[in-house]
Amino acid sequence: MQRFLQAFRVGFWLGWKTESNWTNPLFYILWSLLVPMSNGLIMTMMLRVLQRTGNVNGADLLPYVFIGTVVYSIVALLLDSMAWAVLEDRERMGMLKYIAITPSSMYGYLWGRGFAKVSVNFLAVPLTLTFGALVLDIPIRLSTIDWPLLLAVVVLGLLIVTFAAQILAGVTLMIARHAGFVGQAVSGALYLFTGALFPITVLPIWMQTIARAVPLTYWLEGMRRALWVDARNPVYKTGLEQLSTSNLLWILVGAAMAMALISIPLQRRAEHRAKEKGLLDMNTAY
Amino acid sequence: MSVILDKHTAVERQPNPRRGKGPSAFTIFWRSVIGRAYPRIIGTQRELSWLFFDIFLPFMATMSYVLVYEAIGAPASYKGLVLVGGAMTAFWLNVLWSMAMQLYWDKEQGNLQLYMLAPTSRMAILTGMALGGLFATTIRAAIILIGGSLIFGIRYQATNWFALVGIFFLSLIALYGLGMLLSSIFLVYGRGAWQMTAALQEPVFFVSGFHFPVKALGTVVATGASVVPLTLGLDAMRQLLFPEMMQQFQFLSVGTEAAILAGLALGFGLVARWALLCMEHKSRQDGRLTERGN
Repeated sequence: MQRFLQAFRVGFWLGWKTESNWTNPLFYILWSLLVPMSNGLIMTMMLRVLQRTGNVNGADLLPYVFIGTVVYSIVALLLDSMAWAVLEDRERMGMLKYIAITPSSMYGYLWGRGFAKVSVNFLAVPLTLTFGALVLDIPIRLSTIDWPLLLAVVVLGLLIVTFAAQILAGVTLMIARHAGFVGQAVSGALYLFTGALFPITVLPIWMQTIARAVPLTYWLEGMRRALWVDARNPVYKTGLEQLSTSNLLWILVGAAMAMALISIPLQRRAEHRAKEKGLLDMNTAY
Repeated sequence: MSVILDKHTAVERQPNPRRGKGPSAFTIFWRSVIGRAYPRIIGTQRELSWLFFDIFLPFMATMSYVLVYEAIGAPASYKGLVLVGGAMTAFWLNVLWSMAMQLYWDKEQGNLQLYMLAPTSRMAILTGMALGGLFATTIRAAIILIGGSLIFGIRYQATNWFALVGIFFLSLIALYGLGMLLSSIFLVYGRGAWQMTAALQEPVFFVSGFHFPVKALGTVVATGASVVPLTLGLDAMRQLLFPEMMQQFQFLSVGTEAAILAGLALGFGLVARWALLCMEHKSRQDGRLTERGN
């Protein structure tokens, strides 16, 4: 554990420097706001255009869509950042082999690198949600937020995403080519299957089955329930309104444990295989 | 008088009258264009899995946006509007990451210095990259458009296909001109410019109205966003494809948008040429052409 924490600290510090040293911290925070803010605004405009023409038959899904889009930016960034960190350290910086030959924990190091990239988003996402509440009239109020639920869901969700990202990093470590696509491909696919933008009931039945098997679907549902008082209103037909909040939390706990059980041995196997096959200093001109 | 010997037979031969003149600048330009377009076109066929990822990722993202309208029971023309925007995102991403960023990637991999040594212009190299990139990107956009239209049953009401094709190509010429202009920045700047490119991606999706009619943002924002040629290109294409629905969302008339796009195409081309020369000169002075990992 001590090795893990030390490696995490080093990875985080290096990642933070690598990510942010091209500008000053204030500008970096503003820059980090661009993606979640733009995605939230796109969804807002899409729905407002429709409302303006009176063409809306369904309920107002703006809070559902806005919260899902903004929160999902953390998922996309974390999934992509760890896989990309492997690629960057291995091929661009040529230093992954040095991590591997030290008694340091590569697992902790990659966690640090991943968290460094999304750390500013831990500020950007609340700021964007606040912007949504104040300017776009998204019904998120400090008085109605379920704070204990929010805390539990954030912690569990981050664990799930980080373990998932670790799996992708392990896969990236083992494959020779196309590694740059791994994070983007998975986060792109999950965008469709997690109900980040729309209720999963819109999907065909077979796709709904996949969506219900993805833990992040429950994480986004949990975030909506914590932030938005009307999240379980049946009018939105989310497909998860029947699920009690305690069951939802148990699903998240189970998913976090399952992801840990998959990712930890997989990472060990990936490191071993990378050493065996000489992949730690490979250069594919990413 | 010097004697010229054949290198194979050592027999004296007549000097070649063409020797020393070499190919014309025009020939070099087009050879460079073909030389840079070739690997991008052939590369698409050689690595089919990349083609899958290139198509699969934007297709999934576009489907997500269309499903938002599906979720609230919007008319099919609105889904078509998003689909057209989603298909065109492929071109914006290609311009950003394979045009604007290309000289940065080449600098990182040590190719940039070879470009500088070659007796050709940087415009020729970038034109080749643009044409090669256009090939793969057009396949991607076409698959998104055709696949999405079939899945969601979207019908188009285009009456003037000639104008539609004209606007499409005019938008792309102007867009890739902008890409050339942006690429000149990477001759001078390093990773900071990379971050700026990343910052242009989603915000341009928003201000250029890739997923909704740009007029909804108001005249001031829409006018500012018109610097990105796809803003006007998309608006004109949507007007031609969905004339009934776009009556209330028309930003400018198709003719006006075509004229502005033609102006942008010419302007970006000229400014890009000037900027590339200036930036190359500055980079040589500052010794940044071979710099890596900035």
